Amino acid sequence: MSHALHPAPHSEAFSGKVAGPLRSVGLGCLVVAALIAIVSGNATEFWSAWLHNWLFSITVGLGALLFVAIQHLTKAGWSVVVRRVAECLSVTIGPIAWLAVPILVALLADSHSLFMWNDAAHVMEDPILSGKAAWLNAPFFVIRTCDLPRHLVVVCAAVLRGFCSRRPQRRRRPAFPPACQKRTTAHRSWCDHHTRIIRLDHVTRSALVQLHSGYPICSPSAMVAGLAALTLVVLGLRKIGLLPQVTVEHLHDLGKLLYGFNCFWAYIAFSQYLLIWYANIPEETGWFYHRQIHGWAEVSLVLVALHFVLPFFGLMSRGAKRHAPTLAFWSVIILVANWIDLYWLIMPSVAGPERPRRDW
Amino acid sequence: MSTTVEPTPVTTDEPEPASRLFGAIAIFESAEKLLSAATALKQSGLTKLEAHTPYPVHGIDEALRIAPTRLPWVVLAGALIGAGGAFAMQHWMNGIDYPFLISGKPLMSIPSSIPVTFEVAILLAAFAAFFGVLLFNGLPRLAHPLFRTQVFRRVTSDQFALVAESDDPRFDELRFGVITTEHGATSVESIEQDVSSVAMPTLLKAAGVSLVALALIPPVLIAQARATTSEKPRIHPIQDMDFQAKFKAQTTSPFFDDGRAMRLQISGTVARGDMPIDPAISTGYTSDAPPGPESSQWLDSIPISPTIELMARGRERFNIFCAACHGRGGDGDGIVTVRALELQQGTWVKPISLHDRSVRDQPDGRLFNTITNGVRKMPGYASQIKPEDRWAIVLYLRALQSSRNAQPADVPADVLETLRETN
Repeated sequence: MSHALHPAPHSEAFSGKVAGPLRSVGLGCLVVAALIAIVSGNATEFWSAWLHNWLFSITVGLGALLFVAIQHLTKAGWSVVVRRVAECLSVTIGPIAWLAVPILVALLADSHSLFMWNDAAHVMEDPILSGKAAWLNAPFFVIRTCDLPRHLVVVCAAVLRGFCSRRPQRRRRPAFPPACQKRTTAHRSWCDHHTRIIRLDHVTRSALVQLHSGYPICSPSAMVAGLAALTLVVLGLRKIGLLPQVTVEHLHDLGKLLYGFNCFWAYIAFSQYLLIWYANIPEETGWFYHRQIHGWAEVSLVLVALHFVLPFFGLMSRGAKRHAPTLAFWSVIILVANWIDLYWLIMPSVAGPERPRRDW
Repeated sequence: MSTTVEPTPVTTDEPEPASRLFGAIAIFESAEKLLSAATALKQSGLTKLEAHTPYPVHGIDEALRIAPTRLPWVVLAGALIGAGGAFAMQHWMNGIDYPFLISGKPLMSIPSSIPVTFEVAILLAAFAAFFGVLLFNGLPRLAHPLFRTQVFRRVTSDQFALVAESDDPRFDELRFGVITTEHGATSVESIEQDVSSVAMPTLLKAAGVSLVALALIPPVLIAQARATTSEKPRIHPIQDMDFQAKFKAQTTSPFFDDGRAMRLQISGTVARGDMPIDPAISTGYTSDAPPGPESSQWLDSIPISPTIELMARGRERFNIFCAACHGRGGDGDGIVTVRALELQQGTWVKPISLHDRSVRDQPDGRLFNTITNGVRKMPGYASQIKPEDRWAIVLYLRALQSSRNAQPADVPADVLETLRETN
């Protein structure tokens, strides 16, 4: 399933050449996946893949939005030439947010192929689940999920307005409207909910997990994904001559941000592991223990290598960040690693806390 | 007493100049002008050219043709030495030199050593960067000819300077002035270097020597303290931590009338988990005070209903609290006993076997009382084991005794049949 939307720049010829075929391929893959799901009768595989790729697509936009917000808040001047690209990327949140609707519809239709807490019979048996049933239920879940796009749509609209206006930057108007700043910080309330979407696992509680993946505003996952996608798009546009203003210095700065936030991801991810490993509390270690058995150990190791060890040394030197092909290579690797990160977070816990890896 | 007056040396030559030409400085109003001038000067063949700017200027490395610095390699080496050293240090300390088991973690565990490894790597990388920069730039320097010029002072706020040094074979002050002025220099000056004396001032030398001497005092004091003993009381550097204004348990207090620091339980209240129960259940006897060994006032049976759960609880409690001395089988061969007898220190009384007739014949209440208040060397366990758990232990103890002294009549007929067949 590849329905990741690649935003095209404002060049009609380019967008027609690239966006059209990409859209067709994505829709085609989606139809094939849905057919396979219907024929095999395995709804869990379909829905978990949908959730995984939906979250992956939306983290790119969230990361780009965060990048734009930081540039405005710090009144950064260096990033003006790449900020337009980041604005375009963040606007993808709008259409991609709609892709959550099928999941919510399925939830309201009593499907529990993704979230075991939607299975009334199971909830009755499980004392933890029945204790959380007051708020861990389908209507509440739907309301909280809709809360995020409501805020994001406002922010994206503001970004779009800024994008469309060709007035010079010097105009004495707050660059990032205060209302938007408020909206941006309002996402804090969403973090817990987002965690629950990703974790699917209702037993484990860890505040750091929210930092790792659930906190849409300072989530290292989203920031890394957004920066990697931004770097890739900027490199691509520069190569076909649409962004001649981007110099090696801009690439260097993007590379430094990418490298820094990738290390931040590793820092947060390891902090979480260290605390759970050290405290050794059964209801917490189970989450990691399951990811060391049933075929998930390989995924965990690949994640460590691709998301930290290799990029850490590969992107460390100044030369690597200033050399466009090398930077593009590591951006792709980090983007793939982010996809694996979400796979590793979601798949082992789908439809129950312990699910073996399936190879196809 | 004779005095010799040395004649003042009279020099007939020209007096030696107190300064010589160090180079020339050109001041610019903007970074762009500086960049173009630097590029032009480099093309003219100058090698000893330096730029001084109020902030880092992009492209200055290329304009001045500065070779890539080796500093990143020094920093990387510092980081790797820090990481490797910290990792090895922790493993050697905790795994080899002083093995110390913490929370059942492996002696040489990777996750717990990562924070220190990370921190030391950062620390040594920062040191390498800091001292590397000083080393590569020949710092610290007590003086520099540039500081003698007035125009250089504004370089730290809003002006840009290019400096050419005179020991460059291609240096030509006139040409430098022409080229920089062409590219927009607002002023060009020559820089003089004071050559009157390059010796370090005596005051600085003396200060340095005294500092080194003073730095030796603390290690000497520490060495002396380590090698000798003292009868003086120890020093308390943090007084209010060592002597806290508070009352501890079992001490007196002038605040209350009765002079106790601890308060009595308020009458009519019940502490959590302290609900009063039937005295017979909590003591094991029906009289007011513990009766004599042969008294009939000991409870003769367990006053709570003996279920299989109570039996399991009793086995668990027995294995936790009793088995260390009495042994899991009750033979008086627990690991503490075995070790104590090995040491042969003569203070240990070996517990008698719980299968001994003298124990078997005791009423249940008396066994309960023994667990509660102890007997001979055995301490009482009332504070550690709740009354129900003590009865559970008594129940399990009875089962343990039956396992050694059972009669055929105690065993159900079908089980007896199976046992007869297997033996």
